[in-house]
Amino acid sequence: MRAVVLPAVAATAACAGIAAAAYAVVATLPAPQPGLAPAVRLLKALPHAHESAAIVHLDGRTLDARCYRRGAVRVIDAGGRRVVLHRTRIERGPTTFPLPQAVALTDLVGIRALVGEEIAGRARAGLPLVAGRARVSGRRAILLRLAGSPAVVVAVDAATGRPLALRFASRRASGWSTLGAPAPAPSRELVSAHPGLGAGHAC
Amino acid sequence: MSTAFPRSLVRPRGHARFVAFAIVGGSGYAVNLGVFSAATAAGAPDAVAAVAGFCVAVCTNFALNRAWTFHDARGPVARQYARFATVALAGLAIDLATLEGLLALGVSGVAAQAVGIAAAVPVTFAGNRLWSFAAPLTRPEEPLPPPLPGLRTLVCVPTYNESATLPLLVGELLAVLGPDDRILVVDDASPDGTGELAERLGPNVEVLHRSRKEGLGRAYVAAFRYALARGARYVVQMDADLSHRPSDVPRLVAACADADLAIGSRYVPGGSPGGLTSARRVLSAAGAAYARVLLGLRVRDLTGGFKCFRRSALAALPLDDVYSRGYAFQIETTYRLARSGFSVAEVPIDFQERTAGTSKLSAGVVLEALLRVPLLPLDVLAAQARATGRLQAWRGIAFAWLGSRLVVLGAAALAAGGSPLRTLHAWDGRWYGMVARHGYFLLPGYQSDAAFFPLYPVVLRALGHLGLSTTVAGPLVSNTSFLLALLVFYELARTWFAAADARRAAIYAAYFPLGFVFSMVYPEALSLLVLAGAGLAAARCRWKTAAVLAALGALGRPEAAFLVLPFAAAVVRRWRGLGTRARTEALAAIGAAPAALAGLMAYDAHTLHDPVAFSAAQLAWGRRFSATGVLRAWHELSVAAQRHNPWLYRDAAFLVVYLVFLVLARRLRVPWPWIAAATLTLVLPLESGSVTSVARFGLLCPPVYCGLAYLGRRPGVDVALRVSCASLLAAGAATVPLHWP
Repeated sequence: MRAVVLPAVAATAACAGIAAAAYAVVATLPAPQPGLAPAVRLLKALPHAHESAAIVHLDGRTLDARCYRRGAVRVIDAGGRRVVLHRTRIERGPTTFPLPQAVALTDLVGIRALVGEEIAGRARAGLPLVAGRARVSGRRAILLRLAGSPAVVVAVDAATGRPLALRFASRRASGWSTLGAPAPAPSRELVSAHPGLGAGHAC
Repeated sequence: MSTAFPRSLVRPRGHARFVAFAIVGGSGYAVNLGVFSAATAAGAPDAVAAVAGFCVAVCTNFALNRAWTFHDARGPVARQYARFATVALAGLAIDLATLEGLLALGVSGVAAQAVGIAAAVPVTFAGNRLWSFAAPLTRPEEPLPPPLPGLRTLVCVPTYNESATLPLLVGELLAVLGPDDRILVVDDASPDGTGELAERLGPNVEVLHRSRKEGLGRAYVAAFRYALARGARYVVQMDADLSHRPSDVPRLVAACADADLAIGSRYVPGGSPGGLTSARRVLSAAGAAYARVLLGLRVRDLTGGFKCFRRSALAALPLDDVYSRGYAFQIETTYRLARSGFSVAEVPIDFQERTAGTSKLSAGVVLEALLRVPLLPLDVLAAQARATGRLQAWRGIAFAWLGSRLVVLGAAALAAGGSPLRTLHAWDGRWYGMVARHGYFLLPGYQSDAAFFPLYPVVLRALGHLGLSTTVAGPLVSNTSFLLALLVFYELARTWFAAADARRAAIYAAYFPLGFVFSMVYPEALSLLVLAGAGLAAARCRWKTAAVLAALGALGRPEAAFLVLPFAAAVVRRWRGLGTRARTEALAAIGAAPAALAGLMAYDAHTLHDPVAFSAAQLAWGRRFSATGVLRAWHELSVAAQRHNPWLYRDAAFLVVYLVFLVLARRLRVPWPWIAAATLTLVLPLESGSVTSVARFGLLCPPVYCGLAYLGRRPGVDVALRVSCASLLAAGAATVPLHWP
């Protein structure tokens, strides 16, 4: 019995040492950046965030922007003018905004897939994510950088991880937005131009 | 002076060698730069041009050093070149490490590089002088004495200016030795007349006069050849300065009744280095510990020079292969005998500091010991390989490796429009590079690098600290690991079946159709190396090594966890013959891979807040383990054509072929536990709901190559298999830009 138990106990201790050594080997890799935790919470909250509408302040104008989706096509309706996207590419023909403003609006309306891809892209490149802290509508928020040039920052609720607001700044357009409730049903005019758009399909 | 200096440089000796070596080094730098410039001008990427420049410069430096700097060196060119290239790589590592360290301290690039070169050149010079181009210590032209019937013990005493102590030593020795014992004084033409004095010390004292001072090692080798020719049953070696007490000789000889080599030890209970000064005591203990750790020996006093050899052990010592001249000689002889299976005993002695004469210890002797000790295992391995015929097999496998890698690089270059590196870095390569550069992240719903195991990125990162970018380090690690993996796999296969089959299995592994992955920035080559190494260590009952390698394997690929099966089977089979310590080590080896996985999970839990982050990250690639995984995998396969993913058929076909090979491997008597582990490696991933990459997972199943080896037993089939494997390998490498492996 002793010939089995003694080696087994000692081997268990040795295995604990091996586990600790393995931990130490992996720990020679760089530690995850501090901004990863809020980014993860944002990505976990995004699928449940129904913000497909936002109040956008762009180059001195305030726009009530709403986003509708049908398959890979997204249409952003802001004050009767629109930006049409195929996946993340702006369709120049049907888009009625100038390109710099269209780009800004695409970011400021808070398209979930876009926010997620930009966060993931920065994490993969090892770029810093946290841009600072702020209060948005009275709530404590963490600012996460989505892009460096143009500078795009999303304010994330520190408690829930939900996106609250966005800020955009490039040389030719700048603005910010507060993300709101789900967009109402698209107007008849919009549906006739882009059949199949629906409020139920969150951007 | 002005005429003597150039003349000494024509056939340099002494310090002039170093000047010649530096001049050759300078020419190598020019060659390196020239090849680099020419290659980049021809459109080669910087990394490829740098490697080409380095390789060509090593070749020209070798040729020049062999013909000029070390013109008097003897020995096979291939061996000299292999050692020269090893030393050159070590020099490069020292240069890069120094450069990196100084740059981190804020030193300017040019100054840091200058210091790096200054640090590397003496080491490479010493390495080449003492190893690559070292002359063997034996002198076949020296005459040997006739046998002396009945000679029991011959005490060998090398001398150089020891006239003050020699008479006293001989007197004390004669008092303790018997009538069948003799003393041999080996004198290196001492200016103080020690040799002539020895001639007058009595009939039982024999003297070997040597023409000049050539170091301790050469004197002992001459003494050993003399002793063997005389027919001595026991051969004692000791210093002439009375630091070794003659009264201890009978105890040493008596210890040789149970051991092949008895060492007078200062560091075992009862022994004492009392006569040494504090500084010498520290140096001696540090030297012994350094050698003990690097060589893995349990002998406490490896640097001691008071020994008794049994004749059979001394005769087995390959004196032609012994190169150490100074105190490293003591370490080398003990190590070579211990590695050859001879038993070593330590007898406690009181060491006395010399009371007359001068010590022969110098900085050169210390440097030689520092450099020789790490290289000893390589020398011994090569010697054993030559003796057992393995060297020829290794050479064949190395050529297969070279040929197959040229096929891969050629096809990869064609596929990527001239730059093979782009192909080698494709697909998962960027993820491993990402882990090495930035560490892990896990983003729910998005492809994250937590899916990729850490061993390979850790190695890439370590090389990054030496100044090697991931672009260069990745293919370098993969291809070097693959060569070593093939050799280790051959040794593992030899424990299963005949050497000829094992050699064939390793060659098929080199040319295996999906083997282009072994050259890519993927961990497969490194993982195969540690898996095969772990298996080999377990087969040889080296449980500690097996445990370490299994743990590393689990950090390389999760499939290493299946090593539990062959390890457990080996332990169960040998359990009764194992002592308590060996049982502990063997059990630890079984648990090593799961323990390492637990360590990784602890890291993931701590940093990514998910202990199975490596599995969670797979969700973004559509992999999810479940009971119905196989059904989902089958469904994925059935709709592959509709989803424009015909590559899945490749994976499915490979899976079937692998399973057939496993059946064939059993016919070669590959152990069941290895076949079971391989089957799990192939089948378990299906539970994740996908057939994707199963073809690549099979690369880590050594029995698969054994199955091929069984098929290739007939010469005609063998040739057909080699040709078809090489063709498929080229085709596979060319398709990398189209689809992941």
